[in-house]
Amino acid sequence: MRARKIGLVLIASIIAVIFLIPLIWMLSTAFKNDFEALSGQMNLFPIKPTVNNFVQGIQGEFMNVPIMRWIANSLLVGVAGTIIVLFIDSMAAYGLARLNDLPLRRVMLPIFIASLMIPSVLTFLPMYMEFNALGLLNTYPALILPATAGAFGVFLLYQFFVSFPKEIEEAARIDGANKWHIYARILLPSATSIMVTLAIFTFMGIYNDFVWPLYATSSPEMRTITAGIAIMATGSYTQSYGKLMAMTTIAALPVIIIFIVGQRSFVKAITQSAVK
Amino acid sequence: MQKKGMKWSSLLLLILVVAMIAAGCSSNSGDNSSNQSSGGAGKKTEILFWSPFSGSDGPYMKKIVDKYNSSQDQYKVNFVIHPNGEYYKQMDIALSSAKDKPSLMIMHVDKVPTYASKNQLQAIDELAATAGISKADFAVAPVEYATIEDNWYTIPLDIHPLVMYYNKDLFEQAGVTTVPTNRAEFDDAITKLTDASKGVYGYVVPTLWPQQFIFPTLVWQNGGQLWDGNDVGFNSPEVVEIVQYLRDMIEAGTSPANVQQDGENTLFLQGKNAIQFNGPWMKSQFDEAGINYGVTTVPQLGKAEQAVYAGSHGFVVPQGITDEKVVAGVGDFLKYVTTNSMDWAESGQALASIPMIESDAFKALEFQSTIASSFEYVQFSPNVINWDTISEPIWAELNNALLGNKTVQQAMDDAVNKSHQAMK
Amino acid sequence: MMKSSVGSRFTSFLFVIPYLIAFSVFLLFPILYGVYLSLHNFELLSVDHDFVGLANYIDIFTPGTYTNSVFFRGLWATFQFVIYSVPLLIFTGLGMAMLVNALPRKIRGLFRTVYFMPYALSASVMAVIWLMMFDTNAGFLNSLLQKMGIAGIPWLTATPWAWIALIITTLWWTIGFNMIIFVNALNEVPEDYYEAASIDGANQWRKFIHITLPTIKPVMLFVMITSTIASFNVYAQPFLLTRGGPGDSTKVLLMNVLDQAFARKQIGSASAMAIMMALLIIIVSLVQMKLTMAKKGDK
Repeated sequence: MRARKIGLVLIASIIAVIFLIPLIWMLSTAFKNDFEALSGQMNLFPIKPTVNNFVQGIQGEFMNVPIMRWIANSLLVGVAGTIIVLFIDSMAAYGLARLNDLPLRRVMLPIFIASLMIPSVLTFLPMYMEFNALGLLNTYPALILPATAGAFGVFLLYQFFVSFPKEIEEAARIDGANKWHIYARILLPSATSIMVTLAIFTFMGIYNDFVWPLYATSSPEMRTITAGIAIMATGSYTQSYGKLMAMTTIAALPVIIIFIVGQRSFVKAITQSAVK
Repeated sequence: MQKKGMKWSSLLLLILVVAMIAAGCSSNSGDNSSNQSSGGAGKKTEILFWSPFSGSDGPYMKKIVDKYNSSQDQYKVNFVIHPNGEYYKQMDIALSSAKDKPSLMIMHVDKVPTYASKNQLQAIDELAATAGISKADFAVAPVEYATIEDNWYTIPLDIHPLVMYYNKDLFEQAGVTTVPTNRAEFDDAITKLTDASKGVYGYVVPTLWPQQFIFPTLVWQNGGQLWDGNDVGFNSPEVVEIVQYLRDMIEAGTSPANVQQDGENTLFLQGKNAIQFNGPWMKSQFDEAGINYGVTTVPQLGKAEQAVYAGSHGFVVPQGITDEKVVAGVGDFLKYVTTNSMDWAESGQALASIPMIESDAFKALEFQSTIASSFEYVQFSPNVINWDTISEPIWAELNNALLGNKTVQQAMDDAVNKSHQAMK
Repeated sequence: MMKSSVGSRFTSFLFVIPYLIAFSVFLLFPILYGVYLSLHNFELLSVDHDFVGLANYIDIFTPGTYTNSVFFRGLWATFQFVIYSVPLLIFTGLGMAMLVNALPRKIRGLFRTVYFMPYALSASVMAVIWLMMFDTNAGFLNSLLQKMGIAGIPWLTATPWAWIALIITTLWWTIGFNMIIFVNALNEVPEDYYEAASIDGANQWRKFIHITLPTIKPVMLFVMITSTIASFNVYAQPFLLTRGGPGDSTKVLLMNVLDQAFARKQIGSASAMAIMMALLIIIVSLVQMKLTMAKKGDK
């Protein structure tokens, strides 16, 4: 039994090393100059370590925009999108789940649920043309608003609100609470953990989205970090692994740190959404 | 109870404010541009200038713009760089919407027929005449190419032909003393230069970019045609022969097989590839890497005549830029550039302006002068509308042929068929 | 039911309005507009956009047209990716979940974190990292192989290596997600089922087949559907790693749709392609759902 355990730990460790190698190599390469990075030698520790790649990236020497601007853009649209989604989804879910006199309720709910099946490719081009017509391409709203249409959050919260005990709501109503009060004071606070789930998912979705921001932004200062790196890698910096890896390191570190710190709620978020 | 409600609504308000500021910011930074020209007295007329110079060439153009901006106080050129891979996509968007339209753009000369046919470009004859710019001031090729039905559409900035780079150290080690200029010399050189035991190759055949420059060059040199006026000519015997010639280098081992995107350059930088054909823009990378390299015109590997494919950057003015002050400003800036573009030559580019090419300052630049020496036989992409779309299938099929996935004849036939489909 | 006043109903409606607007403007309208675009000869830079009826769709299904060839070649590439990746995504995910669960409790969290970490990276970051790993002439993997005296592998320029590279990348990036879901599902299998089976003398394998698998079936379905949809939408990996090559063998459908729209500027035809692709994804996931439900019903 003991030998078996050791064997398993060994296998798990080997897999773990394999999983970590690309990240370690990314870090190592980020401190090499482009020439050394292309040399094909396997020095884990750079022969001539340099922080130039980081300095230049932060000063904006690669794409005429400091990489921090890209990260700030990503954070801004991620946070703004998440806040909007939390708001409108929870309100809609409350309306659909608890307000019996809501007009068209029986029509809306199945439509929203069915929309969960719709792949993003269906809306990509028309949405692009729509934002173009509105003159909103290459603006923050173009990066934020498309994410607010998804019904995932409405569905998630609807299921929770529907099963919320009626008695508490009734008691509040007798105390004179109106619909807004019940929503804001009773239902929302009880849904905190689901709201956290939804927030994590929405934020990750917007922050990591790649194809839409690649097309919806055009000026260097409006890029998100994901689009910016993709453009560097397909443009003039294809072979500049040192510079590219410095950029990916800067882009990856915040999410990896957030991930390790918030792992517990992240894992919970995933399992909740999958099973429930 | 009230308090909680307040909190939410104030949060909502906050979001709205943030969103509005965000939107405001972006549109401000987005179109600091053309339409603000009719400002009050003393306000400079702004000219939004788009370019695809996202590589090491960007700072050189920026230098010119900065110098221009400080040389006078009537106009202000706002220089915007888009990533070159994205450039035309962004341009299409800008042109199809009224907002954010640049007043002046860099366009590759071979795109001019397509964009002119879609009525997206202004003829610049009048603008040039007013500014005192004459066709005779520029190399003939790009001017002729961009003059369509007696309308002149572009002021040429540079011409960038394919050039040959070679590693001087490897040449010396292999005892190759003269730089090859024809097929026999080239074959001889790459055989000598190849040293399998060290993993050194004479000429690493690229399978993707920059074949967009190499393939046309070799086709023309071999007497083939990309476009005969009505149809693509990718599967003619001349084309098949020259592609087979490249493939044979791989079979013979003077080039490795399965070269990936930029693989030839990686090996060149590692000192394992003796020769590569690439564009003038590679210069700064080689300088930075400290390679002992030489540059020369591409040898004549085809059997018919000397020819080389080139691109050319030129300035174009989009349709719909009509504000008189802006148009005058564009003219003024272009006039300035035709006589003050040495900074652009510093980036490794050979200039298209004759006064500049003939200046002593330019002649002193060995690299750029070498490039300019091929100007008499440069050719651009076929002058046909939608050439990009028509020719697009050849690159994947050329890739197949060079990787050995198909026979050369088969791949070229497939390319022709796909091009026919794309032309419909 | 109590009759409610107009005012009350209006207040109720106010709750749904913000989302309803977002839904209508950024989902419903684009879908309808996409259908509209697909019925027109919509070229980005042209002024006239003629109504062409179903011509864009007919083109897709008419052998010999350009659209037909890019659509079906792209579809074939996408299919290959789905077929190679989905089973691996499911079974490697399950395997790793079982491995993690079998580890001593103290170190479980550590390994789970490591396996799951790549999932937090964005598509472009992950693809660029692997671009460097797979570089034929300077990449980590080939350098390692050469150190061991093995010739380098053309990861990005020859099939099947290009597919293998894309699958490795995808597994590394997303397997943690599936693993987490399976870990949770495995934990919810009641312990006494196993105990009962042990008393009956069942070995590990039989326990897995007869207890574990049936219990986690709904979760398998979820993983299968999400993995299939994700694989159908694959873009970043071939876009950044193989660029569709060698030839166009890894040029997946989404790449062709976007090329049709932006390189060829044929928004109308591209919209028709996008709609066909979307329908296909919907049908495949419905079929998967049906099949799995039906099997469940048999038992």
